[in-house]
Amino acid sequence: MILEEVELIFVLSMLLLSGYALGILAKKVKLPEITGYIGAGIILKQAIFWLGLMSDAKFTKLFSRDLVPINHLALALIAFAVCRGLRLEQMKRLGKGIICIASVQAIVTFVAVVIGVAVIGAYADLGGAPAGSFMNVLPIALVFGGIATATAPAATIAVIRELRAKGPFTTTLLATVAIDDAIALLIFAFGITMAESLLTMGVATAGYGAIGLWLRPLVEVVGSVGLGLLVGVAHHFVAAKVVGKVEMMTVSLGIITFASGLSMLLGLSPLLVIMAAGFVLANIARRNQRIFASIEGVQGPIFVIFFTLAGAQLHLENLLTCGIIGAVFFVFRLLGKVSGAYLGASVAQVKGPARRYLGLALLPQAGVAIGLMLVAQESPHLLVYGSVLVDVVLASVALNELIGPPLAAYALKRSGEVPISSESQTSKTSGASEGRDDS
Amino acid sequence: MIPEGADLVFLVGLILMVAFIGGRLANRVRLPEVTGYILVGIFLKLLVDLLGLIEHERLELLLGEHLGQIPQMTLALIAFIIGGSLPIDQLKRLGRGIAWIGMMEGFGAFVCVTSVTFVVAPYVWAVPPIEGISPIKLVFAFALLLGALSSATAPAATVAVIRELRARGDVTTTLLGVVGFDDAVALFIFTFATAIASGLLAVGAQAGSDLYEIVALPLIDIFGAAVLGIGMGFVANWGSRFAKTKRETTVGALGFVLLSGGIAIGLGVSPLFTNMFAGFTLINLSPRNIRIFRALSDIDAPIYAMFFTLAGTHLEFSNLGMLGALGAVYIVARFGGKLLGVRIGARLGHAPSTVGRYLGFGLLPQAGVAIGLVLVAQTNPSFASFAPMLTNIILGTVAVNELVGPPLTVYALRKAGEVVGAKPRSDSKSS
Repeated sequence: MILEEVELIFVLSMLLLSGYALGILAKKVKLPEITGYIGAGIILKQAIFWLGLMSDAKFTKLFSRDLVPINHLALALIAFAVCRGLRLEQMKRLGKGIICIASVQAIVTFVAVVIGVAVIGAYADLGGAPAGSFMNVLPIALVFGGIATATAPAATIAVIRELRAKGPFTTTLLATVAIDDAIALLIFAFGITMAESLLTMGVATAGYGAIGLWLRPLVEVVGSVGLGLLVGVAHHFVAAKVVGKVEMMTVSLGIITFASGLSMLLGLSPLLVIMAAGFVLANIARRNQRIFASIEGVQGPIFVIFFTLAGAQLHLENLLTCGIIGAVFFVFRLLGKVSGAYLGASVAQVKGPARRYLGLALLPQAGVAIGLMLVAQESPHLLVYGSVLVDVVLASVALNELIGPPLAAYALKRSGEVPISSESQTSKTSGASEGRDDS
Repeated sequence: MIPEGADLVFLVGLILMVAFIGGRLANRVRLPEVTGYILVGIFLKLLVDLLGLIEHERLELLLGEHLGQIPQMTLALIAFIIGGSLPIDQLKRLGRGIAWIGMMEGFGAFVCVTSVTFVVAPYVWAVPPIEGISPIKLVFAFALLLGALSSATAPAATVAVIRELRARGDVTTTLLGVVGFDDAVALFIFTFATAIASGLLAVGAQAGSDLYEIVALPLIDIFGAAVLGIGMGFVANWGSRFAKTKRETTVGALGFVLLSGGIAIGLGVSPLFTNMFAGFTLINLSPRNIRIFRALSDIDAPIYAMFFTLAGTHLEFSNLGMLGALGAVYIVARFGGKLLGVRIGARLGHAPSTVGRYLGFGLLPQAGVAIGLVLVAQTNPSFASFAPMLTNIILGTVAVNELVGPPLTVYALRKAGEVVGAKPRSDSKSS
């Protein structure tokens, strides 16, 4: 057992050190660093239980409660960091295409998973749930479809950062994951409303719920972007008065964290707020690049903690218990993402690598998917399906978090937007930073 | 549905932002940033209450429990960096003078403040009594801790003054060496004083073997920390070889500092000393390890800003009169002790007489180490009755010392004739 007063310090140090070690190891075998971090988290969790260092309850308290603020912080910093490369001209040029790709891939994924789960689920054993016929399974299939659209921006963005990828494909990918949250929310709202009205056939309450569920995402998007623009402009003016790099780091970190916390307290999307702010900063003036540069140093440790923590929270055991529905969910989601991105790109008349590889980079799933699952769980009508929802979503998150980042890295490399120097990694970056060290 | 921990994120952002503003305002009126951080910290709770997004009880919980670990972690970082600033070859080059002066000014302040406080305190402030402990013991423990805290100095302000004046000479060189070295002395004295004070205040069964507790325990504490720290230093030296990028170095170093601190606390030895020895070992194993300390000092600014602002939240406005009296006693006794200690140290280390005469004036500024140490003392339950007063004195006098310190340093360096462009004094060079 670990002393109570040092458990947090100890856990933090273990997250950092195991992430450090496996991150380096992952690079050696040409995997993305974040796969190393996630692996470190998985091992760390097992080690803690094998060595009996912590009770189950304590582990949950530390990892799922006390350290959660670091997750928010990391997500904000990740979202902010990628905006550095988002150029307005490029967005304008890619604009319609992006919205088209993002919505089509989400809709196709939704449809694919709904059909897949409903058809195959009709013959499969749902674990005590009402199976046997298509109509019985359709409601839960609709919920699954909604959850399947969600992606995890953090993992994708981290891979982009690590590879220093830059270009139209990267921008399309970034923008897609950024707005995917909102789209996923909309589709999920549609799915769960349909599911509930199917289950409560004829009960009039469904209509009201539908409007509420549809309105919320809309308010969230508009409000978030509005707040983000405000924060970005404010940050711009504050930064104009700051000269030193050290001071810039403190104040930028402060503003980003504050905006992220505030948006959550107001019920807005921190991701959209921060990205809108970062987008404004990156495009309003060149000197704002100093802001992005100033916080680069602190990002390292926070990202490592974030992904290692994510690894420690994966439920690998669900891979065994999720059963046939889990496999169906995974496969049809994969097919939906890949073909949906292809279809969307074709409709938008986007040529080149975006068409073929974008879907592969959209697999990672994490916080949003789990959040939607928790929302679905609160619906009393869906209780009849038992634990299949939790099992499948947790299994999907585990699997996609593991294979998603390497696939995203593969997609980026195939798109030809990864500079040669970072494909062989370390060599150039280490040279540069070492040079700075010595000066 | 508000996500778990959203309010904490909000609070951290708010702290960093007000710290920035405080630092800015302080700079404008020519105060050091630290003072600004502490000042805005005082008003932090009020501000959060005004914003109304976090309930007051929740705020206290967030500050006390969730952010309560920040001082401990920051101090571990500071101790590690102190250790890393002591490469043996450099110490040798700078000579015995620095070692003697550093030790004697630290002990001088300690002895002076402890004895003066012990004599004066009962007339000024009644230490809240603890049942089963004689008041004399209590006052003595209080005086010991205050004395230990007094030995710490903050190099930042002094270094800034020296740079600004482009001073050069015996006093300047020695001063730079001493301010780097005396934090180690301060840690040593503090560890000892804490152990002795806890021994004095132990009640009932624990109080059985007084002598053992007072002499042996601190020794074990420090010796164990030294062994652990040196061992950890070797581990880190090996582990850091794999870091290829600056980012990896930062991640590894931060994890390492926390791990050493955690292990030390777990084993019951001083976490500060452990980290100091680890830093010391690292820098002396290979000069290349300086990159570890550089990587850390690149990111520590927001940590310090939070640390000082949080420290400000501990300042209480009750019994200001007594605080003023004790604070004045503390400042004067500390200054006297430092001046006297420098003279003795200069004599023992055969330093030039200008050094003995003027160096003490550069040692007044006090900030991070002292604040960190007092916050650590505050977490010790034995000191509960007088810890708030200690914190108030240290936080209250930081502003004064940081304010008066730099001009005094300027005065001393000019007097010593080491400021380029200043009129040379007739006696400075010859003596």
